[in-house]
Amino acid sequence: MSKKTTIRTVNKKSIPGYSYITQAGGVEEYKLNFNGLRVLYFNRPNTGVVTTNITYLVGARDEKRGETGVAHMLEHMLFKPTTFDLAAGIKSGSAVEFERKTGCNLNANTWKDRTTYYFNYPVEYLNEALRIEAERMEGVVLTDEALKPEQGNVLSEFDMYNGEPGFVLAVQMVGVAFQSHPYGHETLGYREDIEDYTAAKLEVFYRDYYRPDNAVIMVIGDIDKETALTAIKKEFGDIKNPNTPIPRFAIREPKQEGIRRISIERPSSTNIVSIGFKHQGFPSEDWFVTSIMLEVLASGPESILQKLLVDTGKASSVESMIEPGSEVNLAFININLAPGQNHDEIEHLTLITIKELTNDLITPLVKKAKAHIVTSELYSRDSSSLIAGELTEYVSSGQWEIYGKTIELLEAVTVKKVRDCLTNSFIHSNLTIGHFIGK
Amino acid sequence: MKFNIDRKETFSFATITQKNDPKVSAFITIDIHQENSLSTQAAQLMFSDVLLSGAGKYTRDEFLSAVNTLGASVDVSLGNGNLTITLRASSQNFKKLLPLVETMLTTPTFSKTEITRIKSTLTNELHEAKENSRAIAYEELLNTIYGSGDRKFTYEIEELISALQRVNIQKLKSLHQVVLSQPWTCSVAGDDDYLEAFKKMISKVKKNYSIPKTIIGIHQQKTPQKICTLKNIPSKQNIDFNIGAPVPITLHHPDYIPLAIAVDVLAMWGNFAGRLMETVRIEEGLTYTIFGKVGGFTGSEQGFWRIWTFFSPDKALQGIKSTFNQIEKLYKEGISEAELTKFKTILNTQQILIQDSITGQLRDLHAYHCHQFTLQEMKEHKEKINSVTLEEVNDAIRTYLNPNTLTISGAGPVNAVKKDLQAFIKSV
Repeated sequence: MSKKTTIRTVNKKSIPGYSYITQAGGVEEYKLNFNGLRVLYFNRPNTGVVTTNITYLVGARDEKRGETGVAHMLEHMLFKPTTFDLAAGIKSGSAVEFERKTGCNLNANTWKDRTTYYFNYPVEYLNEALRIEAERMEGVVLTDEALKPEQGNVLSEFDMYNGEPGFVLAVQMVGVAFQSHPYGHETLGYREDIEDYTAAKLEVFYRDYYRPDNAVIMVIGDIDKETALTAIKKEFGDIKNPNTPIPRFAIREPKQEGIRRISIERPSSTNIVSIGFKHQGFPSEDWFVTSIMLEVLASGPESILQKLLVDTGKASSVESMIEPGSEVNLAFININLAPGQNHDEIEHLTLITIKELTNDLITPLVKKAKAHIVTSELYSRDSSSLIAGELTEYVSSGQWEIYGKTIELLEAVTVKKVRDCLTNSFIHSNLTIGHFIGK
Repeated sequence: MKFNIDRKETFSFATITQKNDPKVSAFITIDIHQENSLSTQAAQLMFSDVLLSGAGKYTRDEFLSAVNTLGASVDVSLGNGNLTITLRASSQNFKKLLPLVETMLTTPTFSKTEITRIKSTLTNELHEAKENSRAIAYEELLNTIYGSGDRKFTYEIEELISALQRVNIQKLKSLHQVVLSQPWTCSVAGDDDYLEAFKKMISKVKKNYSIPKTIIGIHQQKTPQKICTLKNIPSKQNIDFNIGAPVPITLHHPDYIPLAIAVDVLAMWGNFAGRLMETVRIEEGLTYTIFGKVGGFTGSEQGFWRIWTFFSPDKALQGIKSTFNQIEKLYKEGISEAELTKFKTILNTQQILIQDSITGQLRDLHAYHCHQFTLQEMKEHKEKINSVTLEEVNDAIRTYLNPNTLTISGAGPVNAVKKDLQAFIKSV
C-alpha cells in the first residue's frame, strides 16, 4: 500500500512537532515528525463528545498459512494488561478498566487490510483515552498464560459465526475464489489455526506491525485541533519505530478460467445458493458502480432478485454483501431457498435473469439506488463514531481523501457503467458459486 | 438544538429542532395491543407488509417506486402489539415523502393478490426463522414469563404458519381501524420547517378520530418458575441461552431503577463492565458474550430481567454453573458502594454520549415519549440514577434476583448436554 503525499508547511495550520500534509472534506491530515504517526482531525462542535480511533495498517491479508486469524487474536490481546498496567497494579488492563470506570464506549475490529481500536467519550477523557492507546502500541504483554482464556473467547466467537450457514459458505467460497492471494481466508481464521496460536506467534506479528509509522489516529468531535494534536504528541511523540521494514506480501492472484464451486452439507433446514463474483477494490470508481449494481439486483423489495425470487415464493430472502477491501475481492448474492426449491434451478434462473436484464429495466433502478445510497451517506455522518467508522475504510485503503468525494462518486455512476459491470461481473471466469445444502 | 413535546387528544408530538440538518428522521408508534390470540398474532405479522403493499391510487410497485425515487425509506414494523413507522429522508425530499406516508396510513388497498403474496413470503420467512437460535431462546424465555394472551408471548412457528393461511381481509381491515383510532406517538428531528410539515400531516390524518376508545390490552405475567427448556437446532455450533425471571412491577415503581442498576452490575449490555463479562468471559474464557438487561416494563405492564449468552456444547454446563454462581453471589452479598458509584458514572456517561448523534437523541426521546413522559419527567427519570442508594439496589436484588426461581431457555445443539443441564437446574 503506497500513497504519494507532498509535505508542506502552512503557517496557519502549524502545530509544533507536526507536518501538515493535506485536507479534504473538512478532515485535516498531519504527521508527527518524530515517528511518522499520521493524524486525521475533524471538528464537530457542540456535542461534548469525541471519538478517537487508531487504525493499524495490518489485517488478515498479512497472515501466513497456519496462522490465519492471528491479527484478530492480537486485537483481543490489546484489551489485556500492558506492561504499564502491570507496573501500576491494574489487573484488568487499562482499556477495559477505562470502560468500567467511565462508561465510555470502546471496542476494536479487524478486517482484511486493517485493525482498528476506538474510544467514544465525553471530551474530558481525551488525555486518558490517548494514553491507553499509546501504551497499547508498545506495551502489550503476550504470554501463553494470558493468551489461553482469550483463545477460548475467540473460539466461542468463531463458533458463533460458524453456526451461520451464510458465513460458513462465504468462508469456503473465498477459499476457492482466491488460490494465492491472502483475501482467500476469512479474518477470523480457521478453528484449527486458532487452537494452535502461541504467544510467540502473536509477539512476532505485534512487533512487526504495531508501530507509529504503520498507524493512523483519528480525532473526531468536539475538541479544538491544537488541544487534540498536542495531546497526541504528548502520548505518542516518543514512541520509536523498529529499524526493520514493515513486512508486506505483494501477491498477484492467478488467472481464473471458469466457474469455481463449493458445496457444504449440514444437518439443517436452511438451503442457500450464493453467487460470488470478483470486483475491484475500494474506493475505486468501479467499487461504487458494483455497490449500485448490487442495490439494483438484491436490495429491497423493488430489486430484481427480490421480485424474481422472494415475491414468487422461490426464496425466503435475498441479500448482497460487498466489503471495502483495498484489492480485488469477492462480493456475494445470497439466496435463502424456500422449502422444496432446487439449488441448481435457482442458480440457473438467477444467472440467466441477470444476463438478460435490459437497460429499460435497470435504468430507473439505478437512479433509485443512487438516491438511496446518497441519503444513507447523510445518516452515516450523524455522529463522530459513525464518521470515524466510515473514514476508517478509506484510511485502510490508503486513500482517505476520497471520503469527502463519496457522494460525488456515487452521483457519477451511470446506467452504462452498471450495465458494463453486470456484463463483466457474471462471466464464468469471474464467478464462485456456493451451495449450502441442509440435510 | 431545541426539544419539545406537544400532547393532543389523539396524538402526541415530540420534536428535536436542529437548524440546517440535511436529513429528517421521524417515528410514529401506535399501541394496538388488545389480545394476543394466534389469529391476531398472525394478522399482525402480515400487517406491516400490508401497509407497504399499495395504497390509494398506488399499486405496491408504484408506491415503492415513489418512495425509492426520493432516496427515502419508510420502514414499518409491528412487534409486541406496537406498530412503528420509521421515516428517513434528506431534508429536500422529506416533504415529498409525507403525502405518500399519509396515503399509506389512510387508504391501504388490501389487494387480494398482495395478501396472497404476503402469506407466501411470510411462510417462507417463518421457515427460515426455525434456525434462529438466538430469537428462539429469547421467545422461549418470554413464553415462560407471560401467558398466551400477553403481547410478549410468541406462538410456535408451525402454528403461525397455519394461522397465516386463515387471516382474511376483514381481520386486516379491522386491525387498520385500530391503528387509525388509537393515539399516535410521533417524534421527529430536523429543521423547523419539516417538523411543521410532519405535524400538519399527522393532524390531518388524526382529525377524524377525535376521542380514542380506551383499550386495556390483556397483560398476563406469570409467577417465577424454575424451568429449563431446550430446543435442539443441530446446525448451530453454540447453544444460545436466555436466563431470567418475571419482575412484578411497572416502570414507575420505586424499585425499577435500583433493579436496572443491579442487572447492569451483573451483566451490563454491550459493555465489559458487568461481573459476568469479567468472570465468565475474561477470566474463564467460556464465551464471547454475556450480557443482561431488564425489559418489558411500561407504565401499566410488568417486565422481566434476563441474561443472554452462548456456550459451545462442551462448555455449556460449566458456563451455566459459572453464571449461576455469579447470580447467587450477587443475591447473597449484593453490590458494594464502590460498584454503585461506578455504575452511576457509567450511566451518566452514556447519557452524554447520546448527544453525539441527532438520530440517537431522537431514538432516546421517542422511547420516553412512548412511555408518556413529559420532558421534565424524562429529565427527572434520568436524574433518579444519581439518588439511588446502596440499600435500594441491594433490596431490589434480594426481592427480584433469586437464583432459585430462574428460567433457562436454550436453543442450539443441545442433545448432548440436555440431561446434565436439566439435572443442574433441578439442583439449584
